[in-house]
Amino acid sequence: MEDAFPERIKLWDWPIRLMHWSFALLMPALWWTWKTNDIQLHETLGYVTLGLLAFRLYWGFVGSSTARFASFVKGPGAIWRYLRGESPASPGHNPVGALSVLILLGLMIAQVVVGLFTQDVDGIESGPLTYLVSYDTADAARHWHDLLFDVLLGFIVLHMCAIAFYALVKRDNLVGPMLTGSKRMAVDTPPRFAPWWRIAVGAALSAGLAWWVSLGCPLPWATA
Amino acid sequence: MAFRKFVIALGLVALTGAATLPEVIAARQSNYKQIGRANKAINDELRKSAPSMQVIQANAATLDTLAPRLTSWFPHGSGPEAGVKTAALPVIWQRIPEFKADAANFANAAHNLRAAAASGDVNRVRAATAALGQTCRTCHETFRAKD
Repeated sequence: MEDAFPERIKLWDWPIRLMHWSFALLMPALWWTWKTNDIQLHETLGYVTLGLLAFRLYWGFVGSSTARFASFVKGPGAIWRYLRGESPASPGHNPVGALSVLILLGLMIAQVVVGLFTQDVDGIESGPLTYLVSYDTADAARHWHDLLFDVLLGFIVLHMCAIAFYALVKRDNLVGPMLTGSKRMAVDTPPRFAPWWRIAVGAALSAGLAWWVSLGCPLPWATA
Repeated sequence: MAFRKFVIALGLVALTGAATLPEVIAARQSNYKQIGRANKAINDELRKSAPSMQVIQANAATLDTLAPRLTSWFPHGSGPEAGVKTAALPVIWQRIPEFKADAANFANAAHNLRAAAASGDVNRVRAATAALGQTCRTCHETFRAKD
């Protein structure tokens, strides 16, 4: 606040922004393909989501500093200090935003995993891993997939309310930086960004994982 | 008095065909789950590199036995008005000829699948399974509530 016109710093790298906005488009698209019974497309979009989630986890450990879990996930003490307005502004997710990231990622991962085991009541349309479980388990997975969607939707709404609260009450525009990647703010230590080859390695690994899961996780040594 | 009530109740059950509507719906759901189990068993086999024809034949027989009975699981009054949870939409009883035609397509598909399974030809089974799935989908789009 000392500096009225702080410099514009780079905050989010493009993989983070691409993943974020992909999720924002994928969630309604997945809902719509379910709604219109386009299960083929629903499954394909599910694999895309799976790949992006895998990349997000990878990026949370080896990615740019603002993407790393270790840099923004904080304990209850830090969360409490943030809520009381006692913690200094630092680039990236704040301690409460970190909870939002963890919950949304956790729910999306759970939803994708349950979806892999989900089957319609007729035993016709089914996720790629239903063959590993019984009819009753695959049937239960469908109910969990329904239920988790509602929970996820609730947290997405909460996420959007929080963004509106920051914009209207705290006068802090969170959407702009997530689009452009940069923000005017004074920082002591600017974020560090991961080299491009780590993006390439992560993309190859996550795409490979999504492809393998879509085939039903075949093990090379098991030829059942 | 208790005995008399029992006799009257017995008579009512005999008149209405032995099962109450909630019982009819429960039996229907159990039959559909059997169909679902058989479909899953066949689809699970088809995912394997060497599907078991015996498993497929046994499940195709289940489908072929159940499918022709399907319309009998839907007596009048066994829709949502019965007061228990059911995905059967009232439109079934408003468009009976169409419903029966869909059910007949399913029964044909189940019969073809059984014949395909008997032939032992995996590709024929695959095609017949896909055709059967399509008859499920077609009927459910119109007559079954999405859950």
